[in-house]
Amino acid sequence: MKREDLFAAIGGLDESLLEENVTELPKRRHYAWITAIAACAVLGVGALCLPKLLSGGDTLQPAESVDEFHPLLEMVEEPDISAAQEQLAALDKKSTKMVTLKSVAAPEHEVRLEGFTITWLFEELEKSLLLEPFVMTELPEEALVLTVTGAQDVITEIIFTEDTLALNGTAYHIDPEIGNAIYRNAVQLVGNRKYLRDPEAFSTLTLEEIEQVVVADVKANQTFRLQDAHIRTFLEHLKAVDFVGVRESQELLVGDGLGFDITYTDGTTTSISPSYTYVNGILYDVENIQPLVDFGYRLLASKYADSDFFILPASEEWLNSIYFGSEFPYFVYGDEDHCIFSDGMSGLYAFDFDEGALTFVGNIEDSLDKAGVPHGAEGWNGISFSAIREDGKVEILCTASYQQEDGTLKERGFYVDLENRKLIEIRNFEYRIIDRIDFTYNSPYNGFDFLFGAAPIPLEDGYICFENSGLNNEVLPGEGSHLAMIELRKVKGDVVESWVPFAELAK
Amino acid sequence: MEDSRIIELFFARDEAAIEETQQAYGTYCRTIADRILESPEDAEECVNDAMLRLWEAIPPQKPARLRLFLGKIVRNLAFDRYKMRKTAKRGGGELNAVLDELAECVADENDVETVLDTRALRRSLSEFTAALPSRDRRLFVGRYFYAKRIGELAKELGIQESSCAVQLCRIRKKLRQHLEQEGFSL
Repeated sequence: MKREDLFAAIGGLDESLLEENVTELPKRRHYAWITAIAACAVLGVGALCLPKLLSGGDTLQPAESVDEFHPLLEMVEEPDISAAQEQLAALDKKSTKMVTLKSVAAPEHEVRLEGFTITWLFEELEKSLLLEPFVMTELPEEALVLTVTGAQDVITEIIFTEDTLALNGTAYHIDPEIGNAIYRNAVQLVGNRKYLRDPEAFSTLTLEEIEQVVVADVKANQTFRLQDAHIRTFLEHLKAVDFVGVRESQELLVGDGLGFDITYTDGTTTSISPSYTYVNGILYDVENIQPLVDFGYRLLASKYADSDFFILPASEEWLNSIYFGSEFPYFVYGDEDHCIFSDGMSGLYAFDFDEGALTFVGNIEDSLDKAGVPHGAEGWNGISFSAIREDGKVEILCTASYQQEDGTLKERGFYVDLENRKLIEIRNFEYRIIDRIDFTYNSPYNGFDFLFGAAPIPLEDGYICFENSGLNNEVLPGEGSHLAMIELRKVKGDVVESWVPFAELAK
Repeated sequence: MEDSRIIELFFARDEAAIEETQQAYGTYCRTIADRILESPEDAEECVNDAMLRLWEAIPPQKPARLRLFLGKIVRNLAFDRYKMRKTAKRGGGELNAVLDELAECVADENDVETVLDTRALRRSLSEFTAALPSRDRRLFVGRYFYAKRIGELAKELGIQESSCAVQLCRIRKKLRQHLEQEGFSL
């Protein structure tokens, strides 16, 4: 049977079944129910009134829809606070299909939450301390309505204000100190202007007004607090953005990509998702936002490089699929679209997230073979650097060092031509470590000897690369790992140029 | 004008019947056609065709509910037109979404060996629809007969769009179970 056959057959439905659909349907007055049932509860005659309410009245639904309102019936019984508290704690992003949030005052601005935002809100709601239950006789204008569609399409509805929380129709007073913080942050997601800073005010924002800025990688569900130097750069990029006006269409998916959360010294906050030009639940038409977006992704890349292991925004399946021998793949560069990594030996691969395709870029060992360089566990070792140029292009450099017959070390460098997916050997280049910061290495892969490459941290005056080198404690006890500031040079006779783009080195 | 009076005009072969029908149900018909075709021009042509069909059908038929009788003609004509258009190029829009949803209730679109007993299927669908709770029936008919947008249905019923979509999903599951129990080869 084809779907078209089914649609055609539905066209033959009895006319009597079509009649009710073409008439104006009564609106569901959800909260009128709460009021009505609550009133019955107050009078102590809820159980008697309920069947009558359910079966009649122009604002009420027919009896067969009573199942949907079953949670409301709990209002006439003794609410189980601990059970409700457990229900709040059981909210889990993984088991939800959809989470939406809207304010009672502006329900047309319902937003669908995703990723980090859901995790944050669930964690915050779990902190809510439910105090004594009460009868909510009317829905507060300032309330927010969170709808969670979970497994088996079970829907949980949470209505909350600064000092109240209603879970599936049963209302509780909550600790206002906790509730206030949750509410004030959540309210921004739906564009309530009570706590909103107008984006136009960004142009006059000063460092002194900012308490902290957090950058969030929503896909990877990671957040990082910005250091002061980065806040300064962030503010410059933010000020450069021209907010032209509110976008007509407000349909959006919140939280898929990059986000910044600014906390001001006065306690207010602003959420910005530059990927969608979304500020506190409102979409804007903007100009010159790309530098801010690029800055955000560069920050994330650098933050991951600071970690003692990388969190790749992809499943481990593909990672396992390129597991070769006794070595582990190591990360060279990654952004929202693709990831460059080594197979742990000398092969270099590019993985495109959108296409799910793995492309072989080149093999350093093969290149060394061709050059007659001895290789093997003791013969050579490799390292990678990556950089993002000011024009946004990514550059990757791999080096291999090996011991010459006279015992001295020799470096060979390979530029990764990302566009053509190939390695180009570069000559007349050298690098030196100009600073290093030791840290305790705590990789789950301890016990193996490996090196992995770096993601860049851009500074205002040019490129800078961090080498992140993890060494096995067993091989070099106490050595640990280090972050190192690398300076690249291109050597031409007596002329030494610093901070040369890799592509220039390869020419 | 009352339906009965319009039908009398049809029986009298008075062309004013068409004009009166257009006046009474023109918007209703165009709405149905436009939901399926998503083209005001095509919808208008479809409604004109429907009027001709109506002229040919009455007499001998004497529909009890002219609006619904006409609505079914418009829907079928619009769907025929949609299929014709789809053969020319891949279609889009609301009806494709509706058809994609209904695909959940059937299995292989290309199962050409399946012999459909259309009359039995229609009867079974009517039984299924009649057995639905009132609100589910409104949802099912609104979405899969009238091809209404989910947002439009949600607004009519005073529920959230997400809730509407979830309930439609449940209804489709029920329909699939029903058709399987009735022995239809999905």
